[in-house]
Amino acid sequence: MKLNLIICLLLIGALACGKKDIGPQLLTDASPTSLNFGLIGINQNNLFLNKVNDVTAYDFNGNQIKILNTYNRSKYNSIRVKDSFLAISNQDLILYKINNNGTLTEVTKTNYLYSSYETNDLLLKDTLMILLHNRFLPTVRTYYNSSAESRILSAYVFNNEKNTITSYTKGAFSNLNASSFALYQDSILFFMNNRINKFNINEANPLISSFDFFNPVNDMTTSLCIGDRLLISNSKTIFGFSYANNKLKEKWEIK
Amino acid sequence: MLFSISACSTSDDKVIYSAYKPVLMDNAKLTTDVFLLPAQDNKTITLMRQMGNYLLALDYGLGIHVIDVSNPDLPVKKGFYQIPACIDFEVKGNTVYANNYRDFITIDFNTITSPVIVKREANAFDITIKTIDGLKVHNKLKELPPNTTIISYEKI
Repeated sequence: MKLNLIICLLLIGALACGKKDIGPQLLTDASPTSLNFGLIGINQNNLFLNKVNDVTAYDFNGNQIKILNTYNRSKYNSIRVKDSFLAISNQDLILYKINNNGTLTEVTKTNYLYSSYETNDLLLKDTLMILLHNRFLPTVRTYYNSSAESRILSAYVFNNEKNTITSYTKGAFSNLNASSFALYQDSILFFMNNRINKFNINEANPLISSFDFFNPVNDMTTSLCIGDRLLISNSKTIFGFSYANNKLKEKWEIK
Repeated sequence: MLFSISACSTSDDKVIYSAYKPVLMDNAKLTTDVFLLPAQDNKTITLMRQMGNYLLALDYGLGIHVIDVSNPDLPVKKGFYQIPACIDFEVKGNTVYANNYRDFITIDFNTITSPVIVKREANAFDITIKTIDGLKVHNKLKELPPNTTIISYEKI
């Protein structure tokens, strides 16, 4: 019995080694990651450029107004602006409040453990909601474990009155595995390849509804809501849907 | 058994390379070949913005598709505004703000068939065009011809 067990273990070990010894690989089934680097932020008043070593405010004629903050550009490769909030991120996320005099006040700073985390996108609402959609770059080991797409979704809600920030990483927004998300009126739509989840963070139970696509949209890269139209792209095709009364209708696609 | 396990532990130096290869452009054309072309097929759409009755869709590193959505049930591609190495843009009114490689450009889109660059700030950004899947380019594809720059990536 013991001998059989030893032989089995040896065979398993040999097979495992044989499988790994296939040399450098071209990954042929890789999905596009988000390429939302965020060089340019915009609000009602100004443009905010994520420049070589600083964040600089510009007017809408493209003229430089003022350097708001200096930092090492190599560390922060994404900028997003909404109303009076500005966030730069990469391995860290730093959230600033844009003051009336044009200066920045740091609200919060979040450090991530892994340098290979990339900020996919973030959105900010009236109450300031930031959604970070990070993708941990796959290693050989995780790739062979078929977990190349390790997506982590984090959400934060900033309370203007209490000046506090709340993490929702373990709450309603965790484990969504969403590929993209967009603002739709007062709600946030999380797009998965076969389903949309609609959230309203002001509700006690944020998940309002969930509805399926007619056909899965794989390799989703970006999304946008215009009126009652939901636009979703999977690299080569932009899909247009109409959405009303929690019903989704596929309208068109552009290649 | 111990031998087989220790043999396995030496294979961790294997590398998974990107499934994409660089799209190159002559350096001399990087900031000069910015113009409207006939409608093109999408390659890798990474960002969409609304500009009035138009949807602008960024094709990673290549430029912006201009799509007329005035009839929301019948969108029509009107053209492709080539902007080499463009990875981000924003819209205010009929003005588009974008990076053209390392330059910051302001584009007047008041006449949709003939957009005009009204301002250019050289070397505003320090960008590197990353592979679309975030992985390293295979060594065989790293050797670039002289005087060329990677502006995007395409599937191998």
